[in-house]
Amino acid sequence: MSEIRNDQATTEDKKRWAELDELDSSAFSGPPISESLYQERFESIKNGTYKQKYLEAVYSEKQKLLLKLEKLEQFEALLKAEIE
Amino acid sequence: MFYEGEINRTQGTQFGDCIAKIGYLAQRTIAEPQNFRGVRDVQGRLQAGAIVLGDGGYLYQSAEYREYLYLDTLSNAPWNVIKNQPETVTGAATCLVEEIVKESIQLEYDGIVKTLAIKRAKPFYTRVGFIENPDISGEMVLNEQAASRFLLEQQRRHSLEG
Repeated sequence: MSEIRNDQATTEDKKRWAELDELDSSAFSGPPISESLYQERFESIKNGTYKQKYLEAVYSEKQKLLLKLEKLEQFEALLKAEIE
Repeated sequence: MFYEGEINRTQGTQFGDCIAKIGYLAQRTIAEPQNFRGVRDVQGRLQAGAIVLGDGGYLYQSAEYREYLYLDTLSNAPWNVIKNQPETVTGAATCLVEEIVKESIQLEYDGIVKTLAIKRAKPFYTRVGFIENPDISGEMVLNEQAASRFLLEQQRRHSLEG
């Protein structure tokens, strides 16, 4: 009768872990995309324009946040004035 | 350039999946950086990334309303898909899912995670312990028992492999 040791990986352990490692590279999830969007993404990676696109998106998000901050500061000033 | 830069050769491959998901992941990360989760290697290189959201609902094989972490998207780094590259590591996605399950426990969601897996990814999620909802294509759920088993397995592996 074989003895199971908890301080050593068994052959079965190694087999399971190797199987998981093999599958790891296929671990994608998320909504499917259209053929045209796939083509657009592929081309932007191929020609390197994706970084510029992401940078433009970052600028756009920053602008939204700055606008929100400005509104909050206006509201803050209004509330402070009314409290005082 | 991988696949000779030919789009037709990438479609239907894991590398194609990677192109599709990384673009979506980047867009979501820019719009909602608070929902981004990632794992880095010892050099600080990002090896896998995901967008997660707290959500709730009636899950497959569960009669009661449950809160859970929704794994909206997950992508491995392209060099982990191509493999045998200088940047390639093994187990990045597994490590990220492990962290997401731990976060689900910290949020008192009992480790429950739901995702929408693409067809080629289903064997990975199944191996982790996710169960597929036969009524909704691609929907996979990690329930609390499976989450607990997965974390124990990972803990054992870390302790034995270092």
